[in-house]
Order: sequence, then C-alpha cells, then structure tokens
Amino acid sequence: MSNQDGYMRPAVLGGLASGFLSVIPIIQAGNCICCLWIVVGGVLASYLLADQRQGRIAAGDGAVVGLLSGLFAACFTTVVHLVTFPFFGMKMLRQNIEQMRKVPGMPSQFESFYNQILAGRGGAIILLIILGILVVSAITYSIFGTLGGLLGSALFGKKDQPLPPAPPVPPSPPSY
Amino acid sequence: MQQNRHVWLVLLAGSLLNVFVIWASPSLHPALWLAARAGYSVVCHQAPARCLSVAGLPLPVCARCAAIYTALPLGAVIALLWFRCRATVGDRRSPIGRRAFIVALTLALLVVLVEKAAEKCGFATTNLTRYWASFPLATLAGMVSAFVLLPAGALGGIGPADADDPICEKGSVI
Repeated sequence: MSNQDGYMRPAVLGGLASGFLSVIPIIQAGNCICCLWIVVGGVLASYLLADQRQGRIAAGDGAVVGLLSGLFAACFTTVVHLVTFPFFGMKMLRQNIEQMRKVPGMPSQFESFYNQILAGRGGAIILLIILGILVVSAITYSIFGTLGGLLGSALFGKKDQPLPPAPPVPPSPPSY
Repeated sequence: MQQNRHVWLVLLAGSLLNVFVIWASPSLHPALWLAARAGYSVVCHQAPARCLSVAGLPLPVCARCAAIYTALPLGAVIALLWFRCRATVGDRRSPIGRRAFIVALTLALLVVLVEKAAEKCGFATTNLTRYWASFPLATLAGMVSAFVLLPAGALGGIGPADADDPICEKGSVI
C-alpha cells in the first residue's frame, strides 16, 4: 500500500499507542475487554487521518487505517515479547504449565511434553510460541483495529464536507 | 469501494482463521495448542475454569471470547447473504433500518449485562451461558462490518457496489 493516501503516519501512531498500552503490566488487562486498547488505537488512527484530511474520511478509509494500526500494534507487541522473553517469558510459561496441570482429565501425552519444556529442551517450542503471539495478535488486532477505525470514521468524519473539485479535463488534441 | 471490499474480505479470512485456531488447536499437536494459548494470552485471561473444552483440553480463550470470535464471521456472512437475497429480488436497500438495528444492538448488549449482573449477584452461570449471552452482540458487530463496508450488491455477481450508484448510496445503514 502506498503512502499517497496518507494512511501510514496515522496507522503507525495508532499502532504504537495501542501496542504500548497492550504491553504495560496491569494496564494491558484492558485488552480482556474486547481488545479495548486496540479499538482505541484504531479510533486514534482514524482521528489522525480525519485531522489530516480536514474531516474528509469515509468508512473504508477508517477501516483501512484501523486495520493497519492493528497490524503495527501486533508487530510492536511481538517485538516487545521477543525482547522480554528471556526475563519474563519462561516464568509465564511455567505458570501457564502449572495451571494446565491442575486441569482434570489432561491427556497423558501433555505431561511428557511439559517436562521436556521445563527441562529447558524446548527451544523450538519457544520459537513457536513467539510465532503464535505474532500470528494470533496480527489476526485479532487487525479485526478489532478495523472495528475501531470504523468507529472513528463514524465519530470524526464530517458528512457535509464538500468533495474536492475534480481536476480539469485537458482539452483533446484537434483532429486533422 | 473496491478497497472496502478487499478490507472486508481480509477481515473475513482473518476471522475464519481465528475460529479455526481456537476450536481446532486442542485437537492438534500439544505445541500448537500451547502456542495458541500463548498467543491469546495477550487478549484474554484464559482461566481454565472459564474456558469451554474440546477433546479434554480447554480452548485457548475463555467462553466469552470464544463466542465473540466465532460470532463475528458468522454475522458478516449472514449480512452478506442477506444483501445477496435482497439484491436477487431487485431490492438493494439496506436489510434493516437504522432504528431497528440500534434496538437489536441494545437488546444484545442488555443480554450480556444481565448475564454479568446475575453472575455477580451469585446466580450460578456456566460457560455455556456466558458463551450464548455474548453470541448475539458479536453477531451484530460482524453484521455492522458488512453493512458499513459492503453497501449493496456485495462481492459481485449481483452488481458492483458502486459509489456512483444512487441506490447504493441510499442503501447504507450506518
């Protein structure tokens, strides 16, 4: 997608804002309410686009900029998880595994699988987990970012704005 | 308008992939299930007691989130089929009026709030009640995406959703 529509700057700013809110401990819990911060990022991106275009923003523009902001947020959160995984990731994984062990009726194949990870022989698994975070957040964030962008276009788009005048048609060359 | 349609298709494809990952990952390899759980941990609390189970394993998201992610593409597809049926009989106006839609959205939101309030007041609610209480609201949200992005004659076959088409202009709900 080219930047001639002016989508990139609002999308990057919206994505960074929502991504940042999605990785701060405690505050990130807001995402448990229908990806609140991602929707907010989409609305923000839509607002910035409307501001840039003096309010001339259609629903489709809001959707595109919201979708892009969701994708940028997904990239941002994945990079943060990648950087912080050595410090917090294993602890989180251990907690998750302990929680899962308490679930009654857990298939026996999981026990050996978990033991393998806890013994530190799960390098590929950790890579897969990072990939899982990227894929899942790219999908969910783009969905909720788009909904936020649509909401933003409904809130900040001015419906009675006159359309810009069409460029003059060049005169056709005389035929001889 | 073409751009709107592409965005909507991307959304639909993403939503369907989401549904597949949520419902199929417990039946696939343990590593995939764990990766899905790690992935959804950024958007859901994932308490095992609040998750529906498939093949003896909890889904990677809670019952409410499972309802939201499953109902979004369903709502979008219902809206699309609705458009196509209306277009077939030559009526390209929006399926329902703005007021009816707002009433439906409010009712769906009320269902979620009543269920939540009942839970807080100590009434026994199950994962299935949580699931079905959230389902209508998410279905309507999926329908909104189609109503906004696909004004009429959606996805070709019936006729393009053209910005210059006065009937399409009249037909948009939101």
